[in-house]
Amino acid sequence: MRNFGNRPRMSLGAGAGWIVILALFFIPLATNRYVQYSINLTLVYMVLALGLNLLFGYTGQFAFANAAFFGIGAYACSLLTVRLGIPFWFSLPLGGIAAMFIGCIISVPALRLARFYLAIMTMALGEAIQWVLIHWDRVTFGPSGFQIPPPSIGGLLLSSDRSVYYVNLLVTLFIFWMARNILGSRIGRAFVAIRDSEVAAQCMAIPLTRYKILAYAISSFYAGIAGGLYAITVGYLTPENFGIIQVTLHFCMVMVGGLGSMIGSVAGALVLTSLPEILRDYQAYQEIIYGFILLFILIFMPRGISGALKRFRWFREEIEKLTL
Amino acid sequence: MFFQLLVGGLANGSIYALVALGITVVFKATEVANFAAGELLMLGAFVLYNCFVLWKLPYLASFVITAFFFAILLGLIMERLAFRPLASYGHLIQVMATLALSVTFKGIARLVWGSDILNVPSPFDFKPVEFSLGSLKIVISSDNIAIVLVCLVMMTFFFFFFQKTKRGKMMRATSENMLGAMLVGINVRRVFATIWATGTVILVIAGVLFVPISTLYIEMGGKVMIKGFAACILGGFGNLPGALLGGILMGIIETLFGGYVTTAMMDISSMIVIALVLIIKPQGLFGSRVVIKV
Repeated sequence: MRNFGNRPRMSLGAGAGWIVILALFFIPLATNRYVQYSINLTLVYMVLALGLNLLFGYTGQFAFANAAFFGIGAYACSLLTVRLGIPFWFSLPLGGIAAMFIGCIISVPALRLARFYLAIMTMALGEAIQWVLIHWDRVTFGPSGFQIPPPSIGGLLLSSDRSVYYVNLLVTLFIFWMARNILGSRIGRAFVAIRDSEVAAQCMAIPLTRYKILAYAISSFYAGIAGGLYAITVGYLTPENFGIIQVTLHFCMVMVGGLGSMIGSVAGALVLTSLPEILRDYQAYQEIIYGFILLFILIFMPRGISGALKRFRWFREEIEKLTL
Repeated sequence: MFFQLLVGGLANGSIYALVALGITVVFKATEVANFAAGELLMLGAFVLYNCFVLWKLPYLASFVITAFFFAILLGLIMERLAFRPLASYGHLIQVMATLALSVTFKGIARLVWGSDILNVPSPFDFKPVEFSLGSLKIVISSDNIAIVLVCLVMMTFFFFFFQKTKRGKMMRATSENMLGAMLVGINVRRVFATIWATGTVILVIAGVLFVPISTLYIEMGGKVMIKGFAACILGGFGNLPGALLGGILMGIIETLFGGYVTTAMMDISSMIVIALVLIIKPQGLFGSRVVIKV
């Protein structure tokens, strides 16, 4: 039984969690430039997978627009810096808010739609956003993309991958903590109730509209923040980065990790980000492997890594104590 | 200008109608929205290119190999490897599987044919038709005529197939009520296999016909698929005549956007149609209102 409301006491799992978090701060001491870059990218995808899992795994909304919000966040954040000179610490949340704003607008027609209609509508939105990024070239620099200068925070220039790592790490930890608190609260339980049965949720006086909009808002905010982090990690943006392959990748991460499991999303991002970096020059193999992994997980492990782990009693108890 | 655009839109529209037909056939029976539709179309186009241009087979032979041997085999393999094991998990998981297949197909095609943009010479080399309407002169290219004609033949064939043949009736019965179909002795599993094969054949034929009026590249499927879905939504999802009319309308809307606004608008017209229809009249032009009972 999940321990709702009162705080769980410090368990073995929680202790291990704190040690892992502490250890994360010392990772840059043991990496070279390339490994560091991959780790930075992994953190970006963790934020993305958490956001998508909130909407898809917890609230049960089958939406394809995650890559679009990712793109909006990335472009908004870096265009504000490049065109208007707004400092990075301020443009990052602004990028998230821009994505959240579009997400809220989209959620209003999406509320009336169920199942595949929602999927098609959000897929069309993804194409539309990409179209805007390509054709609004007076603002977005068009199809060839643009370079992002290294951001600075309080006079500190974040020019190396290691300094970017600390930004990404702090934001990711904050986002993870936020998601954990949201999901452990009344809001998270309402999301799960809506996923399991909309009718039952309505019967228990959960306002569907409000909570669905909230789920879209949080999810698109996360994707927008991930976009901002992606921009400073990679340093170069083109509209192609935010196409349908991205959506498939995000779904892959959430499914590999396990639907409705936060720790699963983190694990999924970890597993699937290292892979494309190894195969970066072979797009064909990348696509084939993504497709096969997703298919394999769907057929043989529909609950993902976290579902497989939960078969072991000890893991299940520790994971549940952490309300992950 | 208007009539010329209308004629051009008809050819594109026929392709979208075929794509919508392929999506609807599968959707009606299995309730799976096939997001691999674009990639099946792309594979069809590339296999035709392989037979017709690389192996220099005659066009008719390439057509038969692509549209029948290859497509039926592919449809059966897809059903056996992906959709049969997932049949008990619900539609969402199966839709995810179509997504996984679409990425895999893209990768395989990239591996075999490379990422270049290719061109296939048109196999239809009769003279373009010209006629005048009052003071207007309208030219219809041979490709457009051939495409519209072949599409019409295909549509009639499939209508006949679904309405009159035993196999088609079995497919419709399964899509109406799976349990009932089982009870009257229909082999539902085999019907599902037939349905996936039929859907694949339709999509592959759409790809084969699309080749002469389009360039050939790996990402060609995505845009066509969105337009196919737009056509389905415009005609009411799951409605066969609606899907066909929706497809032709979609092609005309798209060319009118391209002709009167800007060509860049052509790509976005399908999104505008999807958004407007879903916001204003979600059941589409010909669909009936779906009431979900609790």
